[in-house]
This record gives sequence, C-alpha cells and structure tokens, in this order.
Amino acid sequence: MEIVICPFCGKENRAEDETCQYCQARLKPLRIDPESQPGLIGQSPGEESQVFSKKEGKPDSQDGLQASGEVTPAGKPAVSEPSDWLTGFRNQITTQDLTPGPEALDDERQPEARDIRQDFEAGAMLDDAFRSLPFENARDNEESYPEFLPDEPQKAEKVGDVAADDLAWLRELQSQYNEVDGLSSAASKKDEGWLAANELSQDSQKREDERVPRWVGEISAGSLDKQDSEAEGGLSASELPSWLDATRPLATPQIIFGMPSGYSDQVEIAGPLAGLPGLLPAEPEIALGRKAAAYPTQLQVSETNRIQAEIFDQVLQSEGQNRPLPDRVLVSSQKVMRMAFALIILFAILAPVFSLQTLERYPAITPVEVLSASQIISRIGSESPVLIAVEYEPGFSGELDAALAAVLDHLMIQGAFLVLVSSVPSGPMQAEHIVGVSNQVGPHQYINSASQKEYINLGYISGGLAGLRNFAENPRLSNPSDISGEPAWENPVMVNIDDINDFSLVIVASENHDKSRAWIEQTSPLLEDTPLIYVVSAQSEPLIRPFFDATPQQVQGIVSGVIGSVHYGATIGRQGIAHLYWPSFNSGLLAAAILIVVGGGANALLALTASKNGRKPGGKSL
Amino acid sequence: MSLFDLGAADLIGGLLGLAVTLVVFSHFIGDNAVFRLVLHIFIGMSAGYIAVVVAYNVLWPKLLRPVLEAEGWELLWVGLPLFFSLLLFARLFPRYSILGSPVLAFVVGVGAAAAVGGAVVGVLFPQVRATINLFDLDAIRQNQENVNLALVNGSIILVGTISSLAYFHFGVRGKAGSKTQRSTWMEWLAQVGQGFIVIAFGMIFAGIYAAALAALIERLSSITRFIYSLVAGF
Repeated sequence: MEIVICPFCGKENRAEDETCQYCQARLKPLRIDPESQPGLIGQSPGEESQVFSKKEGKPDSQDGLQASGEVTPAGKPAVSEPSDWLTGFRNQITTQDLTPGPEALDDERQPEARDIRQDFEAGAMLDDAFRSLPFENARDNEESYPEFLPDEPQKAEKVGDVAADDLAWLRELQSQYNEVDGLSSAASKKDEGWLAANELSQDSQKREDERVPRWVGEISAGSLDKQDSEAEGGLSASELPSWLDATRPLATPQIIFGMPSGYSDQVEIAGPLAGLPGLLPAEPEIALGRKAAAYPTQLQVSETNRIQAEIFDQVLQSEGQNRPLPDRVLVSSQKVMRMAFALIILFAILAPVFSLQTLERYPAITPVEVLSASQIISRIGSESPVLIAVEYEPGFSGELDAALAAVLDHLMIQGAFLVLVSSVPSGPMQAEHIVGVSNQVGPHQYINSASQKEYINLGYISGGLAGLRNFAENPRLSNPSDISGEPAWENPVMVNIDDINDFSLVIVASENHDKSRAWIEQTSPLLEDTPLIYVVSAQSEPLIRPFFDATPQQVQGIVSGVIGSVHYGATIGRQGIAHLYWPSFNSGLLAAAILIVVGGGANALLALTASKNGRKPGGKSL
Repeated sequence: MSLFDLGAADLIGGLLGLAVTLVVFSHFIGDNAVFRLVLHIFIGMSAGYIAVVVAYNVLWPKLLRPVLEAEGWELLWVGLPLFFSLLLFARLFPRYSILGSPVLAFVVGVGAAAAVGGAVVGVLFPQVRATINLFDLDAIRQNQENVNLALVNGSIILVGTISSLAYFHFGVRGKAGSKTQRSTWMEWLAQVGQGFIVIAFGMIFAGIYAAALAALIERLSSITRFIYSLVAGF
C-alpha cells in the first residue's frame, strides 16, 4: 500500500487521502480539473472567476495577473484600475519571473517596487504587505496615506473595514484549523505570524473580529451556484480599491512559487475548507514530501505456511544443537531375547553332534523334482559331457556343497565327464573345491586316475548376460582354455561340442535367483533335448519351482538345499554331506518352529492383554 | 583324522578358520573392532581374488595374448577389442569422455538386448504359455492326471497370478472432487493377491532360514571336527 507522509505532522497516510487523517492538512496539491467538477463550478474557469468577482464585489487579482497579456474577463470593467506601481510590478513578475531589472520599473514607483521585490525575495511579502497597509494611518493621519493611492482616506477606511472582514474570515479558518487534532505547529505558526502582525496594526478593529462576514459563511461547495445567482445584487466590484485587490494574499504564493495559471479556479473538496475556491496550498507542490512506497517486510503467508515455516525453522535450529547421546544400555530386553534365541538354536544344533541320539529319520516320500533329477542323471552314460555351472558364492557353500555333492557323487558313479564353468569370479575355485569334496563322499576312483582327466574347469565366463549367451551359442569361442590355461577343447569328449545343446546334461548350482533365471533366459531357448537341472539354495527354490511346474518344463529337475540333497541321496542309496548335517538341521528347524509358535502366541497374548487395559502393545496408551 | 594326520597347511588353515569363525560369531553379542577387521580382510581378499581371476582368465588369454601372438592383418582384427577397451579409459577424463561413449553405448546396448530378449523369449512367453496349458484337458488326460484336481490346481495358479498382478496395479481414474482410489472389485482382487504374496514371502523366509541354518551347521561341524582332531591327537 502506498503511503504518503504528511508534510505537517509527519504521520503516514494512505496515498488516496486528500487530507491528513491526523491534522487535516492537505496532502495533495489542488489540481482539480474544472471539467471534472461541473457540479461545483458549472462553467469555464474564466466564467467562474468572473462571476465570483462580481459576487464579492472585488476583482480577482489572480485573474488580473493572468490577464496580463492574456484574456481579460468580460465582466470586469467596473473594477477600478490598479495603481501604476502595482501594475508595473505585476507585469514584471509575470514576464521576468521576479527578477526584473531596474529599467523595467517606472521611475516614480521605483523605490516602492524595489522594496516590495526585496520583500518577495525575503519570503516575507505576506506579512509585510499587511504591515505596510495604511489602515491605521488612514484613520489617524490622512497625510500619511500614500499618494499613489488614488482613493480618499474615507474610502480607504471603508476599504480597511472590508479588509478587516477579510482578515476575520482568515482568522476564523485558523481557529477551525486549531480545533483539529494534530494540527501542525509549523503551519499554524506560519499563519499566526502574519495574522498576529496584522492584528497589532488593526487593534482598533478588534470588535470586528468576532463577526464573520456573511459571505464567508455562505460559501460552501453546495451553495456556490446559489451564491453566484445572488452575487448579481451584492457588492459591486468597484467598491474595492485596486491596491487592496493587488495585495490579496491569494496572488502571492502563485507569484512566489510559480503557480500555474488557473489555480484560482480550483475548489477545495475536502477538509474544513471544502467548497472554497482559490485557497492557498498548505505547501507548494514541490515541497510535498512523499515517501517512497514502503513495502511491508513481512510476507503475506497463510496460517498453514506460517506453521510450516516455524517447524522448518525449528528443525534448522535443532540441527546446530548438540544432542546428548542416549545412554548405552548394556543389557536391554531385546538384546537378552536375541541372545536367548541364539543360545536355544545353538543348543539345538550342537545337541545332536555331542549326543549319540540323533534324529536320523529321513523323509520317506521323495519330491518329484528330486526324483526327476535323479532319473535324468541315471540315464547319463559314461563319458557323457555334463556342463555344471557353479554360480554360488563361498558364503553359501555350506548348503550348496552339501546339495551339489550328492548330485556330483551320482554323476561320478555314472562316469560322466564333468565340464565346470561359472559366471561368478569365485565360481571356478568353488567348482574345484566341490569336485574334491564329492570325490571323498563315496568309494569311487573318479579323479584318482592320473592318466585320464575326468573333468575340465573352463573357468570364468565374462560379460554378464551377453557373455552367458555367447557361451551358450559358442562355448569354444567363449572359453577356449581351462582354468590352468591349457586348451580345453582338445579332449576327445569335447570335440563334438559346438553349443550348449551338445552337452548331455546341464546343471546349474546357484543360491541367487537372478543368476538362476539368467541361465534359464539365455540357455533354455537353445536347449532342445538337453535336460536342465537346478541345484539351488532353499531360499531360491520357490522362485525356480514355476519353471519346473510349467508345461512344457523349462527345468527338468530341482535339488534344493540340505533337504533336497538328503532326498537325492535316498534315491541312489548313498549318504553324503547332507546326511551329516541332517540331525542338526532337523533339530534346528524344530527349534525355530517352536520359537515362532511360542513367540507368536506370546505376542498375541500381550496384544490381547494390552487391548483389555486400553493400551497399545508397545506400551503406549491408546 | 588326528592331529598327527594333519599337515602344517591344514593345521594353520584350521586354526585360522576356527579363529575367524569365532570372531564372526561374536557379532551376535554386538559390533566390535575385531569383527570389522575380519570383515575388511574378507572384502580385501575377495577383491584381490576377483582381480586375479579376471586378469588371468579374461585379460591375458582373451585380450593381451592374442595381440602379442597375432601377425600381419590379424593384428588389426585382434587389436580392435584392445583399442575399444582403452577408449573406455577416456571416460575418466571429462574432456575426452566422448571418445568412450560409443564403446559404452555398444556394451550397454548389447547387454540390454540380451536381457530383454532373454526375458521375453526365455521366461515371459513360456510362463504365459504354461499358465494357459494348465487348462489343456487333452494334456491333462495324456499325463493321466485327475482332470478335476488338475483344473482346481490350475484355477488356483491362475487366480494367484492375476490377483498378484492386480495387487501391483495402482492406476486409478481420477475424478474431480472425489477421492481417488481403486475400484472395489480391484481392491478385493488385490487383497487376494496380497495373500498369495504373503505365502510366497513366507516360503522364501523359510528358505533363507534353512540356508542360514545349513551354513551355521557346516561351520559348527567344521569346528567340532577340527577340535576333535586336535583332542584326539593327545
């Protein structure tokens, strides 16, 4: 919102206010377009000025000043001509902007004109003009009356009465100003100065001060037209002397501050002077102080935004504050419970190891996927190339070694030629490890023949999915040498292998579902009559199962974890690593099942108790 | 196997394995510096081993040796992979990284083509076909299965497949001034799918526990065997 500073009281006002709401001083200079005020004036400025002069019986000095070289109102011939020195002075100040040269003045009135000009320059013309008025002298001494004034002293006295009336209405207006709260002392003092001076020189007319002229009281914004009509029969313009007309204060500020022409046509529309035309402005326009638009420093935000901003501010402030670390609880209920569960499971696992009583009851029903895998391997002939992808990390060797060992044991019994490969960097070493472990499972001499290599390790398949696809399409090009750097495809068993479909069987051992699926994606479209068997961890078995259950099958057999390995050993009547783990594995599963049931029951009981007490299970009140 | 049957390597390896295993097990008491040290050792050993494997199985036999052994125009052919590989190093320098962009684009493009092609041809189409074939009565009779039982089984799988897919369908048609939510029948279907998903997750969790249990048993078995061999030697 634009704010305007009152030049008098210095308080802020709205930009649209005409007057100060505190001291009633005018804030906007009088710039009223006469055409926009037809109700007030109803005629052209020249006509209004003319009528007003007729009504008051005195000529409009401003119009007179304007008329120097301009238009002269038609209704003004009755006014007596002003004195020569005033006319000359008027011409000088209008044509030379208050800097007339001495030669421009009339020689006879040069001293008076020079004095007046100096007074004007001193800015005290108004006071001194009234001080120099011969009101007192006109009564007391007719000789002191200026010679250049053409009128008689009696007439001057009469004129002095009229002037006293003029001063009276000004004082009345001043008193009205003083009644307004917050009136600027500067403005009042300024007015009081010349009024007081005038009163000192006119103490004989104090009785006249109490009486406000009727014409002043009748002037208002709504009665102008009426007054105009009544002015026809009022005072005639010739009753005022020209010198008095010339000393009217209305002309002074216009001259001093260069008021534009037509200023007298403006009518006050606000404040106690509403309706009066041709008023003095409180301040010249150039002196009107206007403060630059002051924009509010506070953001206009909604309540929600303010709350969010406060929260954000609190968060920012809390960032810089050091918070004391919570005391480290050495023994918490959660920690105790965790350790208790660990001890229970450890006891369940170790009990069969140190006890002669072992849970050696093996499952009687063999799963179909394990049975299918066993049957496929049973059909593998001697020296048949079998591709085995060892795709698990060492961390899962405990489970997958046990599972894969049973399958490898069966393959060794069948006399298959093992071709090991891996797309995991650690896979080749895992493959070497599991072949050695499997060879120790049962009484067979699979790799004890030094003269004949029964398996070959092709090493690492690089390139991710693209490398896997490349290996499936052209294994010779993908892995030309084995893990030791020797040529891999010179073995008689490997001579006829050009793609993955030329292997008798493909076995993928993995704990990772993505790795397992990658082999299905990249190799199953190429595998026409070569079976694909998966040896997987128990955690990825549910994700591989759909490929086995599908019709047609994409995976022909699955051996899953320790359980699958035990089942597989049962199909071939051999016990491998998984059988060593089986008692502990069984008791561990049983302990876990008991803990889950007991824990679930206890949790449900706590929740039920808490709901009866009206509290949340976590201990908080509902 | 007694202590005297163990070689020096087996003895040192067994002791190291025992110590490292016990340190890793100490984590269940709480995090400690020794556990972190062993963890760093494992990571360092794995990284070093992988670097050796890649250098020995890939860089030397497939990249460097062919270039060294090539003659004449063959050098141009086998040197092309090496040249493109060197261009990949330009990615390290922003000013010359554009030189490696074509090679990188080729690698990414081939990988994406292999992944998408394999997923569509190897998994998506066969699985859709398998789901449809669950209701192939001729196939059921050929397999000598109970038709009703096979149809019930197929229906469960079909409902599980569709409802599981519906659970992940979060698209709604928004209307001005109304709450955007899935339709009622879709909500019910998603609830059924959620049940199937929960069952699948339960199976996976059981498998994870079984795998971890097997690993724990293998470690404890190894430790007890080693300790038994040590004790049996005296």
